[in-house]
Amino acid sequence: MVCGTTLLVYQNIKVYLCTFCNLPQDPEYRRMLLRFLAVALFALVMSSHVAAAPDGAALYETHCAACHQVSGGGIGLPLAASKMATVPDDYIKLTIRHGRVGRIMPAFPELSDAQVNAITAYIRSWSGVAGPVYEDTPINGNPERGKSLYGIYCSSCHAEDGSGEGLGTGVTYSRGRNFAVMPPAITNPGFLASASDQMIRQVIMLGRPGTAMQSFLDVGLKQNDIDDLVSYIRSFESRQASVDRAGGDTEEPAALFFDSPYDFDSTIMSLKSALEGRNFRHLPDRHLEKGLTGDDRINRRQMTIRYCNFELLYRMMRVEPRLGVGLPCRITVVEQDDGSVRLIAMNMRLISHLFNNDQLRDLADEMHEIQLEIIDEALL
Amino acid sequence: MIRTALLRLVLLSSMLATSLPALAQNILTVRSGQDFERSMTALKSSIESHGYTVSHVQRCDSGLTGLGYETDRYRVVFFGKLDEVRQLSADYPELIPFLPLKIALFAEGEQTIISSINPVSLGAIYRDADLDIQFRRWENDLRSILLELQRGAAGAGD
Repeated sequence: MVCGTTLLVYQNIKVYLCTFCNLPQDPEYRRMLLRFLAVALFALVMSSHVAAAPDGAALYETHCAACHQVSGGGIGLPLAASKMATVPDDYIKLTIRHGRVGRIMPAFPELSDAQVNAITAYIRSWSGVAGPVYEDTPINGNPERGKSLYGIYCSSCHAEDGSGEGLGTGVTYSRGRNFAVMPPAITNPGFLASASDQMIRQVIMLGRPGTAMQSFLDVGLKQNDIDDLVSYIRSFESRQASVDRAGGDTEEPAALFFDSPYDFDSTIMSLKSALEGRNFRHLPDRHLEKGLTGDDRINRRQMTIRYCNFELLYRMMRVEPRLGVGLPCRITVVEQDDGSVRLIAMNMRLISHLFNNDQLRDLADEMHEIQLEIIDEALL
Repeated sequence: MIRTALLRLVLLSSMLATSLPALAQNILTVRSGQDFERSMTALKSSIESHGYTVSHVQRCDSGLTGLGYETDRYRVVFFGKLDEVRQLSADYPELIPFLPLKIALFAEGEQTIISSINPVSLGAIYRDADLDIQFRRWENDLRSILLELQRGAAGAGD
């Protein structure tokens, strides 16, 4: 792991030098100089990593604050001290390591143990109180009985299938929520890999202050009831994908190409007509280069047709508020040098992969199908 | 000029020293302590100081609120370099859906979330050595822009 990271750092420095520095043309001299500069810069960077203890606050700001703020939540779960009081440090560390498979929270396998420890210590420093420590002993309850209890006491918040309160994660911007903190998807491999049986038992017994999770001892459950619940929750582990499934390559192409049988202007007209028939709002067309230079210099044979189905957009943004970085509802019509015309669109199926968000998959598939129908109709 | 170069050098050094392990992130996201309007101004300023032209800004919130959906202020800023967009769209038409580059920003209370696709994440899909260098160059610029926003380093028009 350390070797992999080290190699990555070294390779990135070489790419940076190749990309941004004006190196001499003589290949031999260039190679020697490149190697020398890379080694020198590499030594400098690595020495800074080795010499200085990781700064938890800086690491938190870099990797966590965008979603979690400082204890306030937002896209991510609020990490207020009261909410963290019932979870041990190991849970925080493993959550950083594994993330939540297919949800917005990414895994951070590239952080060193020292960096993960520093972030955890920083989060703990907000309250100044050490986290609880639980034994590793597994709990052997009756999962069948636990399933019945789950249906009575847990499913109204965590959902019948354990997938959580609903779409999205954390208290995402501008959305009405039933809870200040979203009940976690307790079936998620990242959660199951991070939470020990003893931690789950304690949380069920005592609840989580500052959230809707109440003490189920107060509700009237007995110790053996709670053990049965823990065993049922643990049984989700065997039904879920491995935590290692997060991320990875995709075979999906980034863009989709379609040859048009029509000329440039007719293709645009036909596409607009197809969009109107699908109840999409048609936004003003834009040449690809418009705004980058004067109108008299732009390439007029690259036209982006923009459209939006606000209902679908809203459903997608509820799941992933950062969706705007892709803004996928665009098809560009391009006339090539030989006069042939092509339509080029983003592959919607790439979206759920880019966002590490399985909940986007169905919506992206829906959008993908609609887009194909529009293009089919336009090119008929 | 020198100040800008020094600032970029400091930002690059800072990125190398603290953020290199995060290169695999698909979506780059930072939080700015500045409100939406100031962040918007700062973003445009930072984009331009990195040598790009802002081609247009798309409002995502007005259409949603117009149809009764609840949303906070949300914009997508498109930007690029003419020569780059022209060359790449000719040589790599499969890049066109990602051109010009985009940064999304939306309000979260008095703060602002700023986000962009990490171009390097597209490298695994395109598998082209020349494009990898381009993606890396864009990533460095995007990280630098976002870092400026996060640290409030770009002019926000106080």
